[in-house]
Amino acid sequence: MSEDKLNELHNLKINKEKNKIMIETSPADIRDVSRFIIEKMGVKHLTAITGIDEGEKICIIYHFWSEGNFINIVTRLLKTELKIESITDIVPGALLYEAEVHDMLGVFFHGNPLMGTHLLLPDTYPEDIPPPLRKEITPEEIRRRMLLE
Amino acid sequence: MINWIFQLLVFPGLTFFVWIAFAFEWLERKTAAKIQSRVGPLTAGPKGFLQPVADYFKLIFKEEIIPRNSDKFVFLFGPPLYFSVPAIGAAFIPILGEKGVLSHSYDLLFILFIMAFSVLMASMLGYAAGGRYSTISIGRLVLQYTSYEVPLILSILAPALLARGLSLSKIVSSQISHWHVFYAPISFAVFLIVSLAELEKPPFDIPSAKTEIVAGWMTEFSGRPLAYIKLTKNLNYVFLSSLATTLFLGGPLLPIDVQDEFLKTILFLLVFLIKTFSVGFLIFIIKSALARIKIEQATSLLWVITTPLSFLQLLLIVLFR
Amino acid sequence: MSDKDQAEEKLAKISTGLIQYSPEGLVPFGPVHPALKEPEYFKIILEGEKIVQVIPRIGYAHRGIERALQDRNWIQAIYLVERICGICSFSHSLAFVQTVESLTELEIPRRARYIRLIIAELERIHSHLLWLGLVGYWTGFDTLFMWIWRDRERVLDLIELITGNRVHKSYATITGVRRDLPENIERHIQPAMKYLSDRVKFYKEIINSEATILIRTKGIGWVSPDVAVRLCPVGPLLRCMGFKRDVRTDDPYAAYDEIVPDVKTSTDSDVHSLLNLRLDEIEDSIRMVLEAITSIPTGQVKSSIPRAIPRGDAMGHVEAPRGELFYFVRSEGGNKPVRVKIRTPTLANILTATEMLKGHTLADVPVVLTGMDPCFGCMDRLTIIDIGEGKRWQINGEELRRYGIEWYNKNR
Repeated sequence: MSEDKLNELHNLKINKEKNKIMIETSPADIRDVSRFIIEKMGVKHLTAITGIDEGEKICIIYHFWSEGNFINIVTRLLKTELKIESITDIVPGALLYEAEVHDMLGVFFHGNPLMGTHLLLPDTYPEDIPPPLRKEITPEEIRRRMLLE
Repeated sequence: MINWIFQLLVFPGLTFFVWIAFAFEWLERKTAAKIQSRVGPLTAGPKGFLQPVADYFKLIFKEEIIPRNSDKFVFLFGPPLYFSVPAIGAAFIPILGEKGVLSHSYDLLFILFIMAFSVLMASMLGYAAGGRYSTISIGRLVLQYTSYEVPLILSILAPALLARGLSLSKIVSSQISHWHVFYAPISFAVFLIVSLAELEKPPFDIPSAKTEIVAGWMTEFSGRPLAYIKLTKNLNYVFLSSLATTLFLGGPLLPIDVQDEFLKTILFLLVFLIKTFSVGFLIFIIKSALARIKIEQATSLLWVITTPLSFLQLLLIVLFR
Repeated sequence: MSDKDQAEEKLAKISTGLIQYSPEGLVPFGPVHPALKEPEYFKIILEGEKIVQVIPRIGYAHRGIERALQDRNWIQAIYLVERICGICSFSHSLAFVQTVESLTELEIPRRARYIRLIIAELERIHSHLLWLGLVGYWTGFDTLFMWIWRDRERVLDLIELITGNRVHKSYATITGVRRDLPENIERHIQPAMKYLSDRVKFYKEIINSEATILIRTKGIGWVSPDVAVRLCPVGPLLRCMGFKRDVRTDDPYAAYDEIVPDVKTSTDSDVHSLLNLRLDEIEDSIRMVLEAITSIPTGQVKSSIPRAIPRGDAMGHVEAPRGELFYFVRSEGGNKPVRVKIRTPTLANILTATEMLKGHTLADVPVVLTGMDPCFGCMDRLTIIDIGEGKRWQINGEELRRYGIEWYNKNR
């Protein structure tokens, strides 16, 4: 993994330890950064997209894998504005991973055709309660809402 | 008259054939199990011999679920009718002598008609049941039938040509000294292949491929209709094996002359059963060693390979006879 | 047309690159179907026998494991992640354990790393044999299915002998493995491996000579590697397209740096090449198990397990039998993970599989769809609903019936 190429990307917080490279970026830049990684650095494989509820913000991590290194793009969204651009046209394999984050945390990916549908949750999941991995809701609450309404 | 009715319904007619059908299913399951290093049916009866019977009666007492968009009349009364097709066909097979119960001088044509009618009944049942799996299955079934009908007729023509007659009794009586299988081996092989197609067994179990279309045209059936269909399929098995015995293996006839009537009956029956079960056994072995092919592959196999081969056999017979 | 249908249509367009949606000729493939061992639903749209579109609907086996992991401590979590999959259970626990270990500075004993390799490779043999048998079943070749599954028992017996369980091995633990190998285990492993290696040769002969298998698999499921690689497939599916990518060599874990796997590839990218590839991998695994059992070092198999794991994010992956299995763990220093993210190989492969089906016939669906060796139980896990602990769905049959009728009336 060439550090020089990564340094071409300016004003990014890059942190490398062992085989992990963490690139912190703002949600607006996610398409540019991922396009840079795919096209300029020749990374082919998107391993996964993780969504984490951090309280006020939701952290989305794009894990890419290339030549012995995990390249992770970390971006954080405010819960009041959970919208981000989809990267499915750059990496078609991101389709289901984005849909999973959408399903579990309610992040809306602009341009992903699966938004507004359930990937893993049942069709009966109530629309007026938060998605299940959010901290606002407990499993007990979901169970109560889904069954004893 | 009473004797004739007894022959038709009990022995060697319907009841006898139904029991052979059960025995065939047992043999099929047991053979497949042995080949696949399993044990197969074990507990019902000696060596699980009564397992097919038990299965049949279990199905009879099961609930019948009738799909809402099905043709209820055909759905309920079609299966017994379907059952009657090979049951009538079996009455033409000579078992205890040179003549079958219903035999007449052009019964080979009638047998061909029966085999076509069996497919027709199956497609009628599938359409009556409705459902997507059934529809796809019927499409495949009819396509497969149109592919194997020509090789079937051609392969049956070879023994008829050898015997110079279109009746089963004539074909049987012409084989006292030498079986037709030695003069028409290609036709016999083609007949076996076509039998696999007619019986929907691997590699031709395309219309009922369970990993693709569940149970094909039988998917929607349950209870008594299903019991009839299952029994009919086994009966078809027996019918085709006994037909192969009659056409190619000399039927029940013995080269020696036996005077005692009772002993003669027993010997004829034994010879017939041994030959029929051997043919059935051959089909089981072939079926166990093959994977399912696709419908377009089956069509091309039946048209491109078996049809010219049957023609070649007919040509050889005409030239050297 | 509702939003949902539009989205499904778009998914199908992206995943299969196909053109039209017509409600005619729709064939349901699942959730309950003889070809699928697990509940999953594929809408298949046909024109005659030809497949126009495949629309997957996943989530039928969703049990909420990712959420449940947040309520369990590090040790309990190992045994829960193992229950995600019954076939690659050791890969799951190994991936989780390695991810957690990478957060700490713990040294894993060398003997434990060898033992992990042995179990992982035995599991690969068992998983590939299972898949190979199922190929027989899907193509209607029941005899092959029965034979292979019988041979698979030899591997399961070995696994049981070493770990105590056939399926959920409960063997990996943070800093090592839970128990040492039984004494004289090589006396059991060597003959079993010899037997399996003979059988694999025999099966190789069958799949390369048996005519019906050949015409059912050769050239079936072909997909252009350039198109497919953008869908990010993993494991044998990727390797059969000519990409030499294997976590065992790209990012060696356990003892794979000392016993190096020989990564096989093929360029045919069809189901037949997958068959050959997996058989080659079995042979390679047999070699590695034998090599490991003769050169295994002596010593400890685990050290003391820490209660709390240092703060940090960690990613880890292993080469499960089906491909790369990815784990992400976030720890905030406590005795519980804050977030565990699991990406199973099947989820990564499902888009490629639908792409592979393009232009084939209905008869190819089971062969191709399952050619990627799907594990829907793995794929569906994730968040919510059932976290166990005795709190069950308080629902009786009558309520369930009423609920079903209401739902049906509302949604039909």
